[in-house]
Amino acid sequence: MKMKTRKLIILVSALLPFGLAQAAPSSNVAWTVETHSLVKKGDPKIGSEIETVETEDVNACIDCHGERGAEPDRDKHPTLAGQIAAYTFKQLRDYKDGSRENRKMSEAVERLTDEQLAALAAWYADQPIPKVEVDEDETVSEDTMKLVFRGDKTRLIQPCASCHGPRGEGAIIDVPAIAGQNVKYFVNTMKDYAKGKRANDVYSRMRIIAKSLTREEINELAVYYARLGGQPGGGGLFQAFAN
Amino acid sequence: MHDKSKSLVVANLWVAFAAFFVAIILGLYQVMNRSGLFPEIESHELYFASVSTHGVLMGFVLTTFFIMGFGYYTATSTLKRELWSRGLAWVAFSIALGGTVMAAIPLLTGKASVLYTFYPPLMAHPTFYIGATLLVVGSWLWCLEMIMSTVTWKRDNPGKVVPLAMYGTTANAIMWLWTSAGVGIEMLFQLIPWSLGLMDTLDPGLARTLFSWTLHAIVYFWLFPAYIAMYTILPKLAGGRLFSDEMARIAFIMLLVISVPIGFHHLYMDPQQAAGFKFLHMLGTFAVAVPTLLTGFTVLASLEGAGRLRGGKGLFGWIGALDWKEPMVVAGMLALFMLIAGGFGGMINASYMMNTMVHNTQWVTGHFHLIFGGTTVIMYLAVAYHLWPKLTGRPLASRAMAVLQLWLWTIGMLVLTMPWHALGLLGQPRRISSTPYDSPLVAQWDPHELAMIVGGAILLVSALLFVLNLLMSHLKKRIYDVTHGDWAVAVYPPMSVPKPMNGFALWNGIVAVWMVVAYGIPIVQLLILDAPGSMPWGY
Repeated sequence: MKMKTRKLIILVSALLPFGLAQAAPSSNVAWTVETHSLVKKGDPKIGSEIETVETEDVNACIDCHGERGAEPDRDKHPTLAGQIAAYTFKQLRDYKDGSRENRKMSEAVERLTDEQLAALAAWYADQPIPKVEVDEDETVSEDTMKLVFRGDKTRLIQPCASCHGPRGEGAIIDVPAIAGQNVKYFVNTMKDYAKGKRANDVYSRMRIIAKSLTREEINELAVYYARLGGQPGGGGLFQAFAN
Repeated sequence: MHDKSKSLVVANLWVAFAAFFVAIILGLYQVMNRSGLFPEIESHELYFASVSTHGVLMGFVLTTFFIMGFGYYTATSTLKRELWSRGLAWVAFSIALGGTVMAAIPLLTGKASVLYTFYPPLMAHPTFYIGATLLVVGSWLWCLEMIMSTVTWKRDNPGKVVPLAMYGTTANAIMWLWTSAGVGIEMLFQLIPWSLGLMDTLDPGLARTLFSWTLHAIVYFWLFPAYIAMYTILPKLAGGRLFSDEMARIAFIMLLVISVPIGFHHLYMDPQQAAGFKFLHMLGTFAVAVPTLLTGFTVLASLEGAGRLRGGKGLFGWIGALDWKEPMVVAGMLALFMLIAGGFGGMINASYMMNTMVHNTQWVTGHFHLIFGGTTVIMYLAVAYHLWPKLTGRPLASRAMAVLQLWLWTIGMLVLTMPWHALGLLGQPRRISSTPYDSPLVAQWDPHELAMIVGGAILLVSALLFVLNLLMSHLKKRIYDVTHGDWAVAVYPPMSVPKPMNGFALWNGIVAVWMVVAYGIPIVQLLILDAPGSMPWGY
C-alpha cells in the first residue's frame, strides 16, 4: 500500500468517531406506544413527593423552580407549572441521556427511574400555567404579533401559534407550553438554539427558527408569551362569551 | 291525532327547532371567521368548537328530535290510535335529551372540537361520545315504538294496507336501525373505551369503515320525513291527489334497501379498503339516485295534477296555477329545485374518478349544505307550519310570513352554497378555519367568501322569522281542536298491495345479505390483519 493511501486511511479512521458523534440523534426519546403509556400513567401524587426531595449533592426541584414549578427563584430558571407532560418527560430523559446539557439537571435526574420522571411530568402538567412578572414598560410590536399568528414566509418562519397553540398552551405530542414562561429563560433558550448550544429539538425545528429571528423579535416574543401566563384556558364557546 | 300525544310531539319539535336556531347563529359566525375579512373575531379554537357544535346540533339534534316528533304524529294520526307505548316514547325523549345535554358540555367548553364526525385519532372528551350514543339510544327506542305501532296495527287490521305515511316512517325506523349499528359499534368498542383511557391504541381504518356504514344512510334517515311529507301531505295541500301510492312505496323500499351498503364513497381516498369494494359501493351509490328520481317524478306529477285542477293550462301553466300562498307547496317546489341542483353535485361525489377532483375541498361542504339545509330542512320547516295548528289548536301567526321565510331560506341557501361549491373547485380545502396566505389564488376566493356571508345572514333572518312565527302562534287564541290529519289520497287508492309492499321481512333479508357482501370482508380483513394501530391525537 502506498504511503499516501495509508495516511489517508489513518486520517479517515481518526475522524470517524467525530462523524459518528455528529450522527447521534438529537434525542433518544421516541414516542412509541410504550413511552406514551408510561407518560400517561405518571402518578402526580408521587411527582409531588419527588419535587421536595433533596440529597447532599442534589437540590430539590422546588429550590430552583419553586413550589409546584410556578415560582422559580431566579428568572433564568424556567417555570414548569402547566407544562405538557410529554415535553417535561422528554427533557428530563434528555438530561439523563446527555442529549440536553446541564450539569445540575443531569445530576438531579440521574438516579430517577423513568416512572419517577413520568410522575414528575404528570405533577407539573396538573398545575395551572402560572402568572409571571413582566416589566410594564416592555412592548410587543405588530410585526412580532404577525410572527405569532401568521409567521413570515420570506424567512420560512411558520406561525408560533401553529405548533404552540393560539394561547401558547403547548400541544401534542411534546410541543411545550410557552405561555407563563420567564422572559430571561425564554430568551436564553432561543439564543442557545440559535447557537446550537441546545440541540435536543428533533429535526432542528427550533434551531432553524431561532437562527432566523432577530434579537429584538426574541425579546418581544418572550414578553408576549410571559404575559399569557395566569389567564384562563379553554377554547369553547363558554370561554368566548366570558372573554 | 290523540290529544295525549300532542305534548310529546311538541316537546320533540321544540328541542329540534331550538337546536336549529342556535346552530344557524353559529353558522353565520363560521363563514365570517373563515373569510378572513373580520380579523377581530378570528379564533381557531372558537371556530372548531363552533363547527363541531353547529354540526352536532343540525345533523344529530334537529334531525333526530324532528324525526321522532313527526313520527309520533304520523303514527297516531294515520293509524288513528294511541301509540304502542307512550311511556316508552317519553323515555326515548328523556334519554335523547339527556344525551344531548351531556354532549353539549364538552362541546361548549372546547373539549370536543373534533368536528361532528367520529374520525380518530381526533379524540374528544368521553362525555361527548357517551352523550352522542345516548342520543342514538333514544332514537332506537323511537324505532321500536314505530315498528311496534305498525306491527300491532297490522295484527288488529289483517289484510288492510298500512297507510303510506306510516309505511314510510316504519321503513325509515328499520333503515335507521340497520345504519346506526355501524357508529354504535365504533362508539362502544372503539371511541368510548379509547377516550376513557382503557385502550392505548385503536385502528383508525376500522373506525372509518364503521363510520362509513352509518355516514351515508344517515342522510336518508334525515331525508325520509321530507319525502314522506312530499308524498303524503303536499298533494292534498296543493289541492290534488298523490299520483301513485305504489310508486311511493317502491321508493321507500329502495331507500331502505340501497342506502345502507354504499358508504365507501366516503372512503374513496382511504388506503385500508380495496378498489373493488369501492367500485361495488359506487354502483350502489348511483342506484340510490333511482328512488330520488322516482320521488321527483311522482311528486311533480301530483303537483301537476293539482295545478291543472286549479285551472292551469299548457305545458307549464300548472306551475303558475299552484297555490303559492300555501307554505307546503312553496317548500315542496323549492325543495325539489334544490334537490336537482344538489343531486347533480352528488353524482360527481359518487363517481370514483370525479370524486378525486373535489375530495376534501369546500365543494363537499357546499354539497351537503345544499341537500340537507336546502331540500331536507325546508321540508321540516313546512311540516312544522302544517302541524302547529293541529298540535296547539291555534292558527299559525302568519302564513304570509311563513311563505316569505321559505323563499328567504331558499335564496339564502343558494347564495351560501353556490359560491361554496365554486370555492371547492378553486381549490379551497375543507376543515380549515382561515386562509392566511398571500397568493393570487387566495385573492380569488374573497368574493365567494363575501357572498357566503350574505347567504348566511339571509338564512339567519329566515330562521328568526320561522321561530318567531311558531312562538307567536302559541300566543294566539285557541280556536279549534283538530284531531284528524290532512293526508293525501292517491289517484287510485290501493285496496290491496302485494305482501312485500305492506311489510319489510323480504327487504330486511336482502339488506342483510347485501351488508355481508359489502362490509363483510372489508371489516374482517381489518380484524385479522395485524394493523399497526394509532395513538390518540390528544395524548
